[in-house]
Amino acid sequence: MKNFVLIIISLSVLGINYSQDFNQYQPMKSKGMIPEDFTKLSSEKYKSDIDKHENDSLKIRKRVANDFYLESNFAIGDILSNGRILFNEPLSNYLEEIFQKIKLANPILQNQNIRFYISSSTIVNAFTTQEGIILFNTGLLAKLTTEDEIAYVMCHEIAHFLEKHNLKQFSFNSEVDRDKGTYKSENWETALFAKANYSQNHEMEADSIGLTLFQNTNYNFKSALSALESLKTYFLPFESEVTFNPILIGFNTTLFELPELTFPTLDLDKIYSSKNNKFSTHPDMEDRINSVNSNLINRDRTPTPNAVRTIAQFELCHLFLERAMYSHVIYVALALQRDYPESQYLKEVILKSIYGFSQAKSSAKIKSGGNLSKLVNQNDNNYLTTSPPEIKHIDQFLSDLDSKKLNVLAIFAFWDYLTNNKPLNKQITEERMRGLIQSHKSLYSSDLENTEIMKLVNTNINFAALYNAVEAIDDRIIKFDNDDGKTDNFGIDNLIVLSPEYRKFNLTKEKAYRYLASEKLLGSYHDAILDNSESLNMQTNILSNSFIQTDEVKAYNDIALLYSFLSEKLYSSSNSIFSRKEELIDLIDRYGTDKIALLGVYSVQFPKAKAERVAVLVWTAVVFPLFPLGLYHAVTPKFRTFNYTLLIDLSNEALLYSNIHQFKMKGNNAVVRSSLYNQLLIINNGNHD
Amino acid sequence: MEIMTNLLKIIYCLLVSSFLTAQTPGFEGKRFSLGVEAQGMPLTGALLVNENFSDFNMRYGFTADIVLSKFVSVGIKFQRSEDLAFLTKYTQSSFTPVEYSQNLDSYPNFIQSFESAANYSYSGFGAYIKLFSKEFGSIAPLGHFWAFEYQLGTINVTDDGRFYDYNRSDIYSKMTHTLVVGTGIQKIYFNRLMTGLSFNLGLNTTGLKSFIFPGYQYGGMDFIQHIERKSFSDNFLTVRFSLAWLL
Repeated sequence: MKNFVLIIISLSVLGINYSQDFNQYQPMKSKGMIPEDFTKLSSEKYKSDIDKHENDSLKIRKRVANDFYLESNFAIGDILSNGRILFNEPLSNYLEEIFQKIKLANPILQNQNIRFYISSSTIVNAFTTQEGIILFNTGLLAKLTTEDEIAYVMCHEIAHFLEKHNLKQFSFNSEVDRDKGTYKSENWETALFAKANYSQNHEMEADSIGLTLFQNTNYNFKSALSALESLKTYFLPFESEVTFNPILIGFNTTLFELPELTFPTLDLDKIYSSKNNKFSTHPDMEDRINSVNSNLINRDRTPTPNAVRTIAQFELCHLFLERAMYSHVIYVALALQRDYPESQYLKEVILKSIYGFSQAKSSAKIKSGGNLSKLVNQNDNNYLTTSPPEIKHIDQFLSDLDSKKLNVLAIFAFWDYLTNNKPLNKQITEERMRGLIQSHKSLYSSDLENTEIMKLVNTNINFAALYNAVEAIDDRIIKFDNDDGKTDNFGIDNLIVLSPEYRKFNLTKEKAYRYLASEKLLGSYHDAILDNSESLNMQTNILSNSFIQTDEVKAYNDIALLYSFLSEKLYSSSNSIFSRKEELIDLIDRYGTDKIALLGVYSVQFPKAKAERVAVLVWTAVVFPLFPLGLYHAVTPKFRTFNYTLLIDLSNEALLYSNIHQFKMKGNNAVVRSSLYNQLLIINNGNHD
Repeated sequence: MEIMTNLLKIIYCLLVSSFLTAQTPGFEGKRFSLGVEAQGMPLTGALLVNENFSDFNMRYGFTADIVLSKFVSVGIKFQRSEDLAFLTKYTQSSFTPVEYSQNLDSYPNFIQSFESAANYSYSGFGAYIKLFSKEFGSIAPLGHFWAFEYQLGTINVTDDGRFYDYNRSDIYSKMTHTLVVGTGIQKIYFNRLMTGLSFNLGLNTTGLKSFIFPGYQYGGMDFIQHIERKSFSDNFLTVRFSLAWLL
């Protein structure tokens, strides 16, 4: 009885933790107090790691260890501050629960400080850092079907951490690059192979140690094999038996003759060719599976389903939308609709995809005569060529569809949705529809053959009102990627400054990026922004993860949203509005401004040309009283300081102003402040050159 | 006096206009600076007027500067220098060097080798405009600039006791115009302290005349020619250091 009660309580807690309203799904956000990993400065973590390394038995040269801890701490700092990492939400909480189970079965892990966070990425992957942070991508959790598989991947990553593979690999690479000892005078191919081979050995070792850890638990051991099978196709999203049909995405198939549905196939053997790649960091997956299989203890238990798989799959919807991978979004949404057919969120996600695809085609029609391929970046092309047949199938259909037809079908789909459903946000859904109508009026309405829309206008008063209220102007179509240079009197006195950055490089050094100096200077840069804003009577909110405090989780999520907005703007066509616009409007209301600025400094030091040094010395020797100055000039390096400014209007999703100010001087405090003040002055008061 | 009055009027207008503008360019909005400067250049004096190589011909000054726009600042200054003008080949007899030079033909055997000197001073008011280099990325008052300057000054030469053998101090005095073109760099430290280094080419009209028309109107008064040439060489090529405080 007691056990039964405990099970009931556990299940209900689990239910509370992982249940979501999938009808009105909200993208996941971080919660609670921000962990120290995010708030502690990278320089402090580096110093602490160096102190720990002093007592480490690992025989790594001190300089190499210094470089490793410096680079890895700052690299992970950049990752943690990029707004894509989630904590204290259902997925990472679930990982923590799994870890507790693994820890219970492996006393060796009792004193290990290992933390799990979610990386909002569609890629099927997980990775570990030497600092004990293990990141699981959303795409991985959406793909792995059981908790047991997750546990195995976790054990594998923990093994990397325990064995300090990152540090060993870094040290090995440094030795190879030093061109001394064993690898002296070897060609680059040999060196590259050596590095890859060393890395592959680590993977095999992590598999082996991970399996040992895993086999101490109560999970189904065979799940190690299925986990590796899933990772084998890391480039593919989760599998689902989705059969695409235009009706499923709300298309009115009676309007036009639609392209024939084709069913492309995917030759996995052709795509999966890492067996031949000796330079890969990972060994061949078949070899790994065989190796794990040979060490597998024969014990069969019923695997536990992955409790957060559905949430992760819902997450993929907005993550794929962010990358403007509309066919993927439709695939994921249709797959989820099989279990959640009434989900408003999924219906709207599909509409957003159709909208995005249609607007991209309209934009392409203006820019490149309708050639969509020019709009799709290379990464996405690669994605499509390695997509499962179901996604290729959707993509093929939408690509074959004429841009005008797609536009009309999208308008009909939106109108149908608006009249027969209660949208989650009617105003924004209508705004998307107005965008489609605007494209229609600007590009397709002169076509006399196109009568479907006019028929709807003539028969439906409500639609006619909406249609007639939209003006055919082209401004919107090109506005985000076109800075027209007009900077007259923005009159902005309330501004969000998003993640200012200060990066200092010294090109005279082998390792050019100056991590510690950059972080220190970034602090001064923050102060300078606030000082100058104050002197210009501007209210400025700096939203940055670089110096975020423990209790600022709201700001952390706002930063994540703004990054998501900027990312989507890069991938989607400029005439599309942000897929999470309602969240953006909420942010604008809370901060009282819809203007964000991206500010940053790149300070570069590099050597002077020999000819320049000699010329200066000769010239000042002739005018000899100036020789000391000539000597100073000859021995000092050259400097360039770049200060960039981007001003973005969140309401209209328009780039208002962009500028890169180049100072041919060292990026000292005065230079940075001078340029910054000038840029803020322009934002506040217009350009008065 | 009329020039001084006009300069004061200009300063007044600049101050008023800057106070009337609420948000202004400048270094973090700081547009005014008051400073001191020193300039000199040893080599030109040695080459042009037989001075020692080590004679730096130091001139010091006070400046007031105001940033007008993102790339322009203007200012006024007062400069002064005090030096010794060394006059060779003139007698210390009952003739003053002036008289001697005027009667050189009558007393050809009177020539002796000696050195005489007089106090040489220059005082001048100037106005300048600095154009900050866009190509260099400068934003007034920071960075690389080109400067154009006009100075109205007075040269005064007085006896230091080695020139006349009786109590007569005034030797020579003349108002002179100088046009200066310079290029340099200004830096700012502690958000207030401005330093500047510039190289300047100056053309002093009085001195220039003495080079173009050697002997003209001097009637053998070579020392006057020497004085005027010195005023030219003091301005011709100079290095200028400045310190200013941003207000």
